[in-house]
Amino acid sequence: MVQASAFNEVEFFRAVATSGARALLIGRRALIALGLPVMTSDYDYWIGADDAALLNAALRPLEMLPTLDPDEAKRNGRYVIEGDEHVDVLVARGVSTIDGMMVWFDDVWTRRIYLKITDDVSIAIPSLEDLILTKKFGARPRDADDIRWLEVLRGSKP
Amino acid sequence: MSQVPTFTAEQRAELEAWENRTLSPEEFDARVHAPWTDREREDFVALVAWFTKRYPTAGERLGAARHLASQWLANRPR
Repeated sequence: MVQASAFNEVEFFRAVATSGARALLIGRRALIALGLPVMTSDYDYWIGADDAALLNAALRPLEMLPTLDPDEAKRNGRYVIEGDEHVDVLVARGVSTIDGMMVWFDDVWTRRIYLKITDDVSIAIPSLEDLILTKKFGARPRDADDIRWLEVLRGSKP
Repeated sequence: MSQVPTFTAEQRAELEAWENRTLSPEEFDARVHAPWTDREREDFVALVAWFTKRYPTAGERLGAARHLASQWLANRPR
């Protein structure tokens, strides 16, 4: 049987959750957590504009290192944390959707939901509605497909 | 010899660029709102039902997806 790498996903999520950073799991990992069986090879986070240093410090013990220092990351709007896994980090107060709507991190953070990973570890993700908005940032073909699926999932919720 | 067709590095890069292109607002909206066929919707609902029953928690789903992705990466034709 092929095993995943030595990367411990639960410890990764625990480090993020206890980092003190406001970190929202977005992208296809969030879809998987909600129950959509899609493929992805990396982790996508949207964090508070001043929270990169906290996240970087929490992941350093897992030998996951940032490609930019926090100030550079903030200026650039995104950076990567790399180790056994690849983490794309969006670090911006707000992002515009393809149709020109500004989506603000503070608002999305306020409406976040938590999903339990283990008894003592949870992840924060955007609400379904906000997750759909984040899929309009990049506007790639697969983002459109993801929205179609999220809309069906939203329709099935009470 | 493998019967599975494989891509060259150039073809793979071209495909990746095509998949990662940014759609115009009109193209994006059309793709989001393309009508579902009944069969497509039934298949999708069945797949989600299977996935969430087989892996009832978010942690199990994420772990399973990671494991399946690593299997796929290890076994894909090069």
